[in-house]
Amino acid sequence: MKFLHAADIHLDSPLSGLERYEGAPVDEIRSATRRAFDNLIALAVDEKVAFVLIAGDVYDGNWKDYNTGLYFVSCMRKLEQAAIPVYLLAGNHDAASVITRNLRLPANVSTFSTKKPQTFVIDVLNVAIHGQGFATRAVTDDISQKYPQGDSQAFNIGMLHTCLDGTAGHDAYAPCSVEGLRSKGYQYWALGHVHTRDVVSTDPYIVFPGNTQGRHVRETGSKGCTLVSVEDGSITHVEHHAVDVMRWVRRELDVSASDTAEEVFDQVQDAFLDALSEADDRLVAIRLILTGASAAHQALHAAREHWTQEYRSLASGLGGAGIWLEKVSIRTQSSVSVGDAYAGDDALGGLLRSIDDSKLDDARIADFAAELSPLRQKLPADMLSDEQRYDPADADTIKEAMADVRQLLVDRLTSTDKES
Amino acid sequence: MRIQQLNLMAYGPFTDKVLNFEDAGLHVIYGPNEAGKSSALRALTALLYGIENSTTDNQVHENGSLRIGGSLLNADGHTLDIVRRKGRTKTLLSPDSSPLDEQVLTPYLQGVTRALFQTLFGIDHKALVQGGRDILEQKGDVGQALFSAALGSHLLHDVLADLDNEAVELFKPRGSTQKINTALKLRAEVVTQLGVSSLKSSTWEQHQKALEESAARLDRVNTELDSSRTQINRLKRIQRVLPYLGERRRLHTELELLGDIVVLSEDFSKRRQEAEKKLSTAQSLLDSRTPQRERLHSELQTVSVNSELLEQAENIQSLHSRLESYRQGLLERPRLDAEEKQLVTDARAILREVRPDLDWQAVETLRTILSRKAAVNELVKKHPLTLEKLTQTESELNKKRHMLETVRSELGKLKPASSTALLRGQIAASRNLGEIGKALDTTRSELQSLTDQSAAKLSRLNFWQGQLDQVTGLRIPGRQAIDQFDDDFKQLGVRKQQCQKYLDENILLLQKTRQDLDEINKAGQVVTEDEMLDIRKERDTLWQLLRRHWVSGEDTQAESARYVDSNTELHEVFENRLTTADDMADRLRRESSRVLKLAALQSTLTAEKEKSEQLSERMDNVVNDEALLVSHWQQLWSDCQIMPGTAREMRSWLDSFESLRADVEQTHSLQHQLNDLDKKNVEHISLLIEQTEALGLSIKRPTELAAMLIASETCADELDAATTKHKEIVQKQDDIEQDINMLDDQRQDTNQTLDSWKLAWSSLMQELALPQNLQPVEMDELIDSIRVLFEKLDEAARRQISLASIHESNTAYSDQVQRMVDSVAPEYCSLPPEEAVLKLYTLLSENQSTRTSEHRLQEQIKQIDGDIAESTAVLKSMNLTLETLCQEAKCNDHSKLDELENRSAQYLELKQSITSNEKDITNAGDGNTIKELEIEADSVEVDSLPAAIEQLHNRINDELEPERSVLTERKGREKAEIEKMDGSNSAAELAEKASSILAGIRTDAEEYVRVKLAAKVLREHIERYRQENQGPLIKRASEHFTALTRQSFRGLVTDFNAKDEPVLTGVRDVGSKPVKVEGMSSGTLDQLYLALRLASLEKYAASATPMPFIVDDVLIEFDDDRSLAALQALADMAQTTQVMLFTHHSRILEQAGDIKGGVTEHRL
Repeated sequence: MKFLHAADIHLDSPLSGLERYEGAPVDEIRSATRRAFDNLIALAVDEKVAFVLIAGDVYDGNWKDYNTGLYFVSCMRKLEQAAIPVYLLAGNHDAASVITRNLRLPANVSTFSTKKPQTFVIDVLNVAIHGQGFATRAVTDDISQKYPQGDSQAFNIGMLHTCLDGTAGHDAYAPCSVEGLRSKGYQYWALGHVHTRDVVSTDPYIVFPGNTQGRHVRETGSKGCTLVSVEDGSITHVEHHAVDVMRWVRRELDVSASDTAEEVFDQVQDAFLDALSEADDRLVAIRLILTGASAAHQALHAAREHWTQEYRSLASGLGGAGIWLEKVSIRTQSSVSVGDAYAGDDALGGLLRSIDDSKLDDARIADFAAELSPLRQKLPADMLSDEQRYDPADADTIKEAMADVRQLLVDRLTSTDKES
Repeated sequence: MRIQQLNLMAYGPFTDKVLNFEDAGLHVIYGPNEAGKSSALRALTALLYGIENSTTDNQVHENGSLRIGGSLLNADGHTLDIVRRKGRTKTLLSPDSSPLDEQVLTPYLQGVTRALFQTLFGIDHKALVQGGRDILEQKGDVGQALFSAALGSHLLHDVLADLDNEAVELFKPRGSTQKINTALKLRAEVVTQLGVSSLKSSTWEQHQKALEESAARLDRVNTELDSSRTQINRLKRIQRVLPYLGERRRLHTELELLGDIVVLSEDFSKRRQEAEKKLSTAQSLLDSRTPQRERLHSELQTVSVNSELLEQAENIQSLHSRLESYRQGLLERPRLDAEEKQLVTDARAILREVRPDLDWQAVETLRTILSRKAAVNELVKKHPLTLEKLTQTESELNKKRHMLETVRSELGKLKPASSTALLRGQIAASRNLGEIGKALDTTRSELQSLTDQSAAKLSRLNFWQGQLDQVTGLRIPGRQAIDQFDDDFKQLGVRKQQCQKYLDENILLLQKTRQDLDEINKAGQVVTEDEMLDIRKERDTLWQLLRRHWVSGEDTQAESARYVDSNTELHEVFENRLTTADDMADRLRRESSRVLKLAALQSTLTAEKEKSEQLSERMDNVVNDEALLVSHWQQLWSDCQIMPGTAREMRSWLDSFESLRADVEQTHSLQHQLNDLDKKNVEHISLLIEQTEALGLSIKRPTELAAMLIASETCADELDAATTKHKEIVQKQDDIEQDINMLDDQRQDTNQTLDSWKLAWSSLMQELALPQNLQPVEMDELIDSIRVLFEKLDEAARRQISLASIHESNTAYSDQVQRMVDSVAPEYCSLPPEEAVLKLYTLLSENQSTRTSEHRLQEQIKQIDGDIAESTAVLKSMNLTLETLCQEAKCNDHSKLDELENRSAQYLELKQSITSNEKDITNAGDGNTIKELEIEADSVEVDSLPAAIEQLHNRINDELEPERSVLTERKGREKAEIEKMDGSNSAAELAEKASSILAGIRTDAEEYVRVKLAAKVLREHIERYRQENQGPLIKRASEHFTALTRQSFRGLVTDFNAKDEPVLTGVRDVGSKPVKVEGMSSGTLDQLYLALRLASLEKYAASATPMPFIVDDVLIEFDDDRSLAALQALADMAQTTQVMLFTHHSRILEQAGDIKGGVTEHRL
């Protein structure tokens, strides 16, 4: 018997942080979450799995388009035609979603109760699946405690949407402990909510399959679902299968060995090619972070815009499945320490010293924040609040920007020619 | 830093041009146009920071050979000689051309980058003019002017303007065309679109519900339509069936009227008619044949023939046919007779030739020879074959005997060899041991290298002075224990450090406090509250004494004695105290802060002293603990007689020692291995020697098993080869002997054959009565002659036989003809046989013709008889048939049969009509049974049918159909709506678009934050710089300005503009109105900027080591006076900072000669 375990599909949740530019592979990223889900359905059919488990967050909480629900139904129908039942558990996003309210799912989909733990038994396979969905957006109790003890004669699966014991970066919903889960005597715990794949335990198996498609640069690496093989009531294989159509890569590039921006360009090209080959014929969205002390530092900073364009055209010309350069973050340092030079100079040195972190007290930050407040007021609310939030008046943002400001001022004030 | 020397080794137009800058004072470098002033200027920067990739100074020297040398002097007196080449990497060289790390420049450059060096420590005419103009553009803004000058940046104004512009291009709070504003608007539009494209779940639900409702209603209408149509069909069917049912009733009545009927078979009529017809035909035939028969009989009576002649017809024809051969015979006889005689004559001649001795009568005896011809031929052929075979066998035999001789002699020279099986066994066993020799070598060399390695490791091992054999047994502390000590030492270290830090802080604080106290004390005694109270108390006491003395007249001298002396009166003392008390009170009030500070300092001092003691105590404890820990540590190592270093050292020592120990152990194990291998080697060599000796071979004993194995194998191989050869020759000898025996037998056989031939030949000659000496070769000829002889004889005999036969046949023919004529036609007996035969033949032909006519008449009579008999039979049979038909029709007379046939036909017709009628009913009745249809027809009122049908039609057309079409349309519409909601991703795509716009906004927002904050920070700092430096800087700049303008201006002051912002203004005379920068000439503005630059550089030099100040022809637009003043200012500056002035103008050089303070001239 084989079954598929997936979670956190977040259908139609847009990919964030991908600014469009000329030559960007716009068409290739379209409907990425849907196409990843299509891959998952095809995998289930190809592998002839006995059933599919979806441990929460099919939808994105604040997404309202009912078409997404209808699309999900059409996917479930494909599984119905292949006689594959689906066990569906509502996650925090699903609880918040308006789509779920009226949606009529096909007969092969069984949805867990959100009021108390429920068990579905598949007699022919001798499998019992236990679970309880989220009734509201924020469930902060350990609902797994009330799950029934496993049937010693059957293969037991527990489904739960949980942060487990407070995994970083995810809302602390339905917290529970590995020991608590283990005590139930199940053979497999199909978890959801944490977007990074994690086999928490192998006895019993406690698995976060991760989400099916990375949606921003913090969700890097292969994304997909977990295929579990069971023989004679014991698990024989637990394999990750990638279904994502596009892969996020965060690549830090130490350019200290490069003396010129052209050499850095060559390094960037190698990094792009590496990323492409690692992504198994998928489109790559890459964040490039240039670090290290390099003689090219000044050149890179002074022509930040120019080099970003150069890397973009490089990405467009590389072929393969394509590369979307999400962002270039230049965090290099000068190969010569400039600190000493300004030590005795009250003009530039004083200016730069005044930008140092230690000089950035709360009052000064508040002053800066006030300067940026008009922009902040105009920015859309979700930019200030979503996962990839950016608040120009935020203290951290200002502190981070100061490093660039410092470099910018050095560049401009030490330039001898108006044209340069 | 100073540049002591610049060597233009190969740069620009220069080759090995050395400029020496060691002298203090101003250096003026003069180069007319084309002399390479600019190249020299660039060389200075290139020396320090590298030659630019796109340099133009490569017109004389190629890129690869460009070289600039230089000598640098640091503030602390260190010098560095360097050479710079052009290239990408490793461009800094030492004077001997070996590459230098760029880092060696760090103490000289002190982090000043190329850009900073060029702005901060370089000024050219363009920068000067730009700087002056900048001041003008900023309308004399003090902050910007000072900052700009300090930075050497003449573009400060532009930098600020650019930052502001960039910010404004990105975003404006109320703008609409700025990049961020545009994107925000676009995003808002997309979000709106998104809202429109999004499908609400309620919308879907609404359409789904409407669809379901329409479908249900449509189902109901369809059901009703179906039932109405069914009803119409039923009524129409009844209408259709009714006439057929009436017809059915009529037919049944007619059938009843017909009564009982014999149903005749279908062919009945036909059969009857045929019988009657045949009957009449037979009767008429009979009537015509009878008279014919009578007539033929009478005709037959008239015919007669010669039957005897006819009986002999065959013989007569035979005689007629043989007539020709009879005539031929008469012609042949004389020729045959002549031929026979000639053949006999030939035969006699041959006999006389071959056997003259033999009589002609005995000629037949020679036929035996011909009959034995085969036997004779056999013997003749065999004779030469046998002779040839005999010769061949004998020659072969001789050859084989010779070969046998050779082989025997060869065998005599060889001796048989011994078996090598045992030796081979031993070789295999030794081989199985593997390559001992190689293993021995490897092990030995491993052992040697390991021993060397161990010795080396031992020699490198510090702390312990033992021997290698002691290594294994040495008891050393465990790693855990060392780690524990390490932790303890570290903790102790941290404690100690902390303690020391506190102590240091404490000492500093104490010092500071004491200093502060000293300072306060130095500023004069501080009045304390207590002192004042004391004085006041004394004043009050004195007042009481005075008062008592003055008012009450008391004598208070005794009490006053302690306050007064001989020179002073009590009231004076009182006044003194009164004044003092007042003063003190005043001072206390005035110096309250000092007083408080003093008190606070004193209390700090006390507290810190206490703390100092505590800290010392803690420090002592730490030191004690440390001593204790050290002693434990040393104890730990005492067992192995080691004076340990630090735990970290010992841990690393432990690693080394363990590695050594592992090596030593490995050495032991290898030694064992080596011994084992050696033993086996010797053992196997011995065994192999033993085996070879047993085989009678002797081998020199080698030391290596491998050599032994090769020698043994060679022996064994040689022995085996000899054995094989011996066996081969013996085999060959046996083969030859066998061949000889066989050939011998063959020769005997052949001899026997020859003998038996001779015997057979002799007996044959005897048998044939031929001479015994007749040779086989003569025999052929003899036999041939005899054969020809007998052929001739045989031919003669055949001629004789032919003659006899002709005679006999002609005689017989004549006799037969005679007999025939006598018997049948005696009238011809006188005729010769040939004519008689011809006459007989003609007579026969005539009789035969008469006989044929008679036969034909008989045949006709026979046929008529047949016809009569047949007609009679037909008459009888047909009467019988008619009788049978009457029985079938149940009547007696066949004349009534016709009527009966008619009735039967009528009955059958009715029956068929009924069947057809029933079929019609069934067809019209939609498959219902007649019975059902009759019941159905009975159930309705016939006349009401059309009305009922009409009513139903109306309901369908007027109500149901319109409703159905409305509902179908509605259902279709809803279905289409639902189908449009196909899970499309258009909203999702809009969301993607919004997200990407947001990403763009973010990038721009980040840029906005950068430029906005940069502008803000810069402005703030300019202001701060002004506040902090304006006083001294403007004062110094004012002095320079005054000098540079040759007292045209008396100085610079800060004034305020209409917005109350500080602005720079020049002062011409005391009391005159200040001159704003807008009112200064461009030359004066240049001098103002230069004054500010010089003041700023002086300020820089005061706090840090400056780089050389490179001045490029800034004086060209100064008049002579001001130019001189500027040169003087630069020369003054050169006392502290190295200053190099590059110029194209010889006038400057001339002026430089008049400068005080030393000027060094350089000419390019």
